[in-house]
Amino acid sequence: MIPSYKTMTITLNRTIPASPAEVYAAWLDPATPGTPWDRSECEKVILDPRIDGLFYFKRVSPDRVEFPHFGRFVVLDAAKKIEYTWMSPFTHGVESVVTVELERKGDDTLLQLRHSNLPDDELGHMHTAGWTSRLDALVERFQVRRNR
Amino acid sequence: MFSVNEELSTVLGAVAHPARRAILSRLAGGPARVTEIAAPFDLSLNAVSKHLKVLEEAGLIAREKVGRDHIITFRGAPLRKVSVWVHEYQRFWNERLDKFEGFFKEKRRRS
Repeated sequence: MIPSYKTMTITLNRTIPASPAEVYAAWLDPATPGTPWDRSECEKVILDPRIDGLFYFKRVSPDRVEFPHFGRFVVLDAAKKIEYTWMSPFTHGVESVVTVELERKGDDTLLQLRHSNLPDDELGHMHTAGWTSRLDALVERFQVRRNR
Repeated sequence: MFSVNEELSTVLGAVAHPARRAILSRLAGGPARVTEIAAPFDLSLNAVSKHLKVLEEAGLIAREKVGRDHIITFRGAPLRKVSVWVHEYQRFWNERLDKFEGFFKEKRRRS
């Protein structure tokens, strides 16, 4: 299905103090904090990390709104690359794609996360009613980023 | 890394000051005269005028002259650019990777 709206890609880079093999294994383990399927934060985690294996998890907001996420593993190249499709209420039921690439840098690993085919619309929903508190958080983040 | 264009920088710069965020919060509730905006703050009219100028340059407020008063109105449009920057998944992955990175930093610190 080809989305009828504009799409965007988000790219983030981090340096992780571990080897690519460790980072690769940790990303595919729901016991690792900070993974998308971090079991301590999700309900009903199902994860089958092999080509064409599926995942499912549900994040629940404090006011009990449910955000189910699911997808399919497309690339699993040990210690190098993980790619999976990603569907959630934020993708309008269209498959977006998450690519995690790992590259050794000394004792560390450069991790690049790319989330593509995302709807470029108001899903960041900065609505007038709620924008001030979001803005505070946003500016804080911006300042932190600039100071890095 | 995510590119921040110049216009976005102007908007983010304008909202980086707490006094200007407070002024915008006030104006989000409805238009006001300059003196009304200044009233709750411990700021001179001159200082408030300078903040308003920065907000005006970022397109976050509009000014209309009615008689001897300047009526200031909030304009949300530039924030839409910011809302793209803060896409739900931008926030989500930043938060995820902070935690993921933190986990390994802690692990290495302990070893």
